[in-house]
Amino acid sequence: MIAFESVRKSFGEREVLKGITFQVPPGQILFILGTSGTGKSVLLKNIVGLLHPTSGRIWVDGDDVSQMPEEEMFPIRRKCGMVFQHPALFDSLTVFDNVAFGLRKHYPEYSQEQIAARVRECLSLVHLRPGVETKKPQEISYGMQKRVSLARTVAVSPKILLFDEPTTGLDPVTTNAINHLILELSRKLKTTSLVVSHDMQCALDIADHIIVLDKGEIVDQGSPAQLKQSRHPLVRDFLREALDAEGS
Amino acid sequence: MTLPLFLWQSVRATFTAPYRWKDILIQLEFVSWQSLPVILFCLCFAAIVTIMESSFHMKLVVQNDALVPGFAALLILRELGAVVSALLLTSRVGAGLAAEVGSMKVTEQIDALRMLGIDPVRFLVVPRLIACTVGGFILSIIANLACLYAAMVVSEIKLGYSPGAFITGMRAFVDFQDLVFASIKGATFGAVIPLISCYFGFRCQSGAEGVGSATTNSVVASSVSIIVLDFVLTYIFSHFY
Repeated sequence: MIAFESVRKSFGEREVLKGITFQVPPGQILFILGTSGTGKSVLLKNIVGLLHPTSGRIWVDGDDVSQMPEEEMFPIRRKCGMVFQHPALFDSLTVFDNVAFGLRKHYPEYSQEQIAARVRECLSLVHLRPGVETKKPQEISYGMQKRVSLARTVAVSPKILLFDEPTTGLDPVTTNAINHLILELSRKLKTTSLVVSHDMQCALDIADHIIVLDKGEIVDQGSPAQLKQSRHPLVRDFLREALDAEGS
Repeated sequence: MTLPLFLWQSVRATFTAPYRWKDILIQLEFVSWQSLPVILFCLCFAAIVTIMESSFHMKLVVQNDALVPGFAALLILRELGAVVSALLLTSRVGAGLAAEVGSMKVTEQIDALRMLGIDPVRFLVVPRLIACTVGGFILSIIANLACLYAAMVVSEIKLGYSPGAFITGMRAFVDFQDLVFASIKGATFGAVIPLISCYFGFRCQSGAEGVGSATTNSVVASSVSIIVLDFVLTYIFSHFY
């Protein structure tokens, strides 16, 4: 269970999150929608202590992480996997070593064979063909890098998956593939997933619950069916975009 | 993260295990071996200029350049060797480090490290800090010796001092202690470069402009720090002469 309680976050004078409150029950897929600069990524980074809220509380499986020191964050981060807006792969390592990176850290008892088997399993989970593991990140396409990033995240078997605009900069075909991968992984691995996105169509397709953020505040939320009935102008804009995309 | 906190975390991590020896050796090779040609090349020219300028001015003022070997050796060992090497290292290694760490920050690789339970300071700064400190120490010794050799060669060709006369003249002014102090300076300057460069990398703002300004600021800050530290160390060492 992830819970936000009146969370505020400021950078200097600028308040990015203005009293956010919501809960995500275990096993659900929550989409956080909003235009650029509304604090979606900031919200996600607060869950795993990459940023800390100015005030308010954040609970992850009963632990208050809002002001938790860096040294104590490890067990929380161990539970969570985050797919960043950028693929964030380590340039100097091969695809294999990128996926194995967390495994070597978290499972020191694993043999080389066990690590290799897990890496292959995770790469096949994200539909990457054998042969890619020997390449460096800069030798594969951006879409493939995103998939490798996803494989690296799921390799350590997190209970909570956080996706920060996982389809930004991808073509529609790869976007669709990644979105279905999120659904597939969330269902197969029974994880709680939070997805930050601009993509209303995808949210309507795969989310259990949707939150719409605007200027640091939740302006609407509900199930996909409830959101379709929303009267809020921003939600209507998102829905129109989604319908247009579906129509075209 | 403030600079004092960053320095404290870096130094604390440097003096506690575990160490990533493979990475330290890769960095050491990059810092010392790969920097050696450019440092030797530039320092040899600096030595030639030192000899020619000091000879010219001594002849002008005291009508005699007999003190040139000793004076030049003193200048090389106490200042030129360590400081010029460090400034060259700053432009070659420091700029690269700031850009590398800055790019990692911008592309969220540092956040990815933290998510995987890796301390970015231990992972990125410690190997570079150890490599640059050891590299700075080794480079300052090699650079000083090469610089002295270049000064000796040019003294023989241009001023007619035999190597024996050059060494005798040099020994009247400098001691082994000078080489020790020069290598302490080299190690200290070497440590400053990755600390400042990585600090600016960690503070890098998003975008190409952010990486560019982090790189520029790190080179300026490292160079200024080296000059100021040179003064501080020279003042401290002056008590031992």
